[in-house]
Amino acid sequence: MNPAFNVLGLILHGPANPGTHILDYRDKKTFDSLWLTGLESTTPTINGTNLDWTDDHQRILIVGNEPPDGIFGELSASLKGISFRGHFTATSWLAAWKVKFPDSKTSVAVIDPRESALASGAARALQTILAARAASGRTLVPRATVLNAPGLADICQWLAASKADQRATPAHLRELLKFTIWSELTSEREQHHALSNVLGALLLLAQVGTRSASRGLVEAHTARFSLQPYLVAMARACGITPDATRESADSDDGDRPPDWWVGRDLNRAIPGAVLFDDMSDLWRWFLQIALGFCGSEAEAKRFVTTAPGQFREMAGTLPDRLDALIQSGRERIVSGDLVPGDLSLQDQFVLFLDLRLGLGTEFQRCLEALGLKLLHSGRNLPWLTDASRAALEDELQGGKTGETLLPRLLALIDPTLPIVIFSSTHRRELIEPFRDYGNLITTFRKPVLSGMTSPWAETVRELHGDFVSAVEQAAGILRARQIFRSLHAKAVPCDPAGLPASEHGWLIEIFIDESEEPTETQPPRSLCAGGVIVVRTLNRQGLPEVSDVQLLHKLVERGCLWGWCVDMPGNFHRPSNTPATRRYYKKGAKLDFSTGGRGSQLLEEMLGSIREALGGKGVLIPFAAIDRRSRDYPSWMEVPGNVRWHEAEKLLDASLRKLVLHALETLLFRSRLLRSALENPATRVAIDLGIRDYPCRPNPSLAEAFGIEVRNRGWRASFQSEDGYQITAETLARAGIP
Amino acid sequence: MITLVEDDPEKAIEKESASLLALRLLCEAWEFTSPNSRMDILDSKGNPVLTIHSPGTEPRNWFDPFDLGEPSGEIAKKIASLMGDKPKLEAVEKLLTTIASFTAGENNEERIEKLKVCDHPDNLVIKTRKALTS
Repeated sequence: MNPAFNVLGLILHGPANPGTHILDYRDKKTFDSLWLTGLESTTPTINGTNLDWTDDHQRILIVGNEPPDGIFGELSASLKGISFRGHFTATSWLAAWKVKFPDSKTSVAVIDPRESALASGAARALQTILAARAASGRTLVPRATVLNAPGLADICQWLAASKADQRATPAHLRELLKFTIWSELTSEREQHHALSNVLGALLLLAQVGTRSASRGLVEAHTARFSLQPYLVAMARACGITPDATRESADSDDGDRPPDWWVGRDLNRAIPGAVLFDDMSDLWRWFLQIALGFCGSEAEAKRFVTTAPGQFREMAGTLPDRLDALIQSGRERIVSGDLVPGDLSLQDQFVLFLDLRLGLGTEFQRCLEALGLKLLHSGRNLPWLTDASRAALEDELQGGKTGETLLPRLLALIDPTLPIVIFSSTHRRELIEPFRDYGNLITTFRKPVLSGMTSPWAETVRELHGDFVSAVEQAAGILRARQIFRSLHAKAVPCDPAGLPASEHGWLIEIFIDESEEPTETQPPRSLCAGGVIVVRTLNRQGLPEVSDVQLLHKLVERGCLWGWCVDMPGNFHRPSNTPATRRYYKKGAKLDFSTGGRGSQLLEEMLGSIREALGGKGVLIPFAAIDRRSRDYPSWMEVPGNVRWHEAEKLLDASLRKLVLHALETLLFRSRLLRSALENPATRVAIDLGIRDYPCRPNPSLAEAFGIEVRNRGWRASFQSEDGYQITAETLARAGIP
Repeated sequence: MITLVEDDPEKAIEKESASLLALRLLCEAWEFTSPNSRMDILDSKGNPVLTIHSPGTEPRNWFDPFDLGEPSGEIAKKIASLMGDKPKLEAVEKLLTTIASFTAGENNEERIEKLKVCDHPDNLVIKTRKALTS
């Protein structure tokens, strides 16, 4: 019931006032059609009335300023505390309409029954502009105004004057209105529950989810977020057009279904995802569609999060569940630890973790207690050095922890669980503590839409790139997680009892190399990092009790020497590695691993000869980490046209390097035999990384695109010595080996 | 699940203001057009640009916009209670109670006579408009 609307209808009714339309803003249908139709079309039908924004005889009085009661339906918990009604006043609509249709000849006035001083927020700012008068006495904005608690004379005067107002709307006024709308929408962005924090989710959902595969999800979402269509309409009026930019983003990846933000390969590489976010009921839809977990019930089951409104209850007991996990000695976090009752994903998922969960000080105290238990649990905490462990302990004891504690604890409890920080914070102090935690991914940030200094399309493109990059990283960690599981089950559980006794420590040598099916083979193709570990006891002088020369002699004696090294005696034959004679010494002839070849037998003999030479003073452990390359290069990589597809990723060797790193870390973290040897301070570790000292044809233009200088334009090496140093140093640092 | 109820004090303020504005506009329209039922507003060249209609002395025109019930003393009180402070409330109640008392058999002149205030040049409509404007 809007008595002012009824009265104006009575006073101004009839054919004597053609073109004068009175709209009740407090009426739900009118509100709906003004926002959803009136900002889209120049000839909208507003609650049954046909209007034409190009008609210069048309005068519209919108009576009422506040949105209708209950127009936004049952609100989600994510919107708790957000003052959003003030953004959808009739004044806001008028401003958005003027921004969208600056040249409209129709005159529109909002009749706000309240005195102007009673408006607040966006309404007040916009009202100031729209109610302002130019020096001529006419409204500052042509044919648009807000009349607060007007007298009948004021209304009549405006109706008469607006008919004669033929001024164009100056561009700067349009920009001023647009800026005011946007800045009011996105102010207070660091406040946890600000409209700007939900705006990104609602706009991104509009970006990804109108196609058939995701429509069901979007409808389920909009039923709970009836605010969204109005917000999107307002954003569109301000020039932010989610759909249009989505179309342009679609065209860059033929392998990606239109709704998704990841390609099919990446989708397949992620078995599932868990979202842990107090605004999960708001964000889950975008995330679910972006990851491609939609379109069927089976796909939807790959996405797990808390039920609407249950986050606080479930999150509140998380410290207890993590405590139980630590007490039980279980190594991996499963989805049920995060979302109780859900075991569908087991331990194969990516965790998307918000930072600002708003769970209060009691939750934080529980986390701190959990952290102290974890530090003294004897659990392997690979991301901590002695110094950082001490610092964390001080932090926990001092009760000075913040929002970064939960991600760090989860990363320590389960170092191979990929955790994507899913937060909107841009504050460095919140991201910096994650630097040393290898499974915390900080590439993607929820959008915070502030000044919109860059076009929306560009913002979306950047977000998209960051999102794919984050998921790529997560997929890499998940692959390593799977490898760890495989290694742990097969090769790694070397019984520490197998370590020969030594009072002076051991020399651990890890010989590792990589290999891959020919790059001309279409993916998926196998790639491998593998080799042998030789552990030798040291004597009082710190020298291996079984020397290098003894090992070499044994290999020669058994006819198992196929290569050359710098320590090799001078009378050993050195292979000729030149571009013209690219081959390993005798390897090609003898080490034939094809069916019927003798390669496997010779390898066995070679390993046997080393074991024989070591006797009781050493141990030999062969190992291999095998994975499959799903595509030649990641989807985010832009490859110049003159670069052959199979060369792109190969040049960077990113996958192979990662695989080598993962293999090394698995060995050093997980092998109880090696951990046992490393407990002796006299133990030394050497990592020998196989390098290609033979020529490969380079592609200088690609290399230079990545800032890699090609010194010799004829040839390049793949794993070069600096790669070896880097990988070794990184591995040892992570393993905490001095 | 937490379901929030919209609870915005501005809504209440607008409801109250809308009632007050409505009654003031009725009074102003009556005053502008009096003694006629309508008035044309002309532009500088003498062409009509707008026509204002008066609520006149028809009780329904005064009561129906509030959608609270048939014209009566009781409904007059209900409408008056939406007006905020006491002087406004009293003025509106008096006006609407008087209008509610109009009977079908009366002509317009008889009704206007009832709206007159003793010892005062204004009638009840003008007095109410002034009270609502203050």
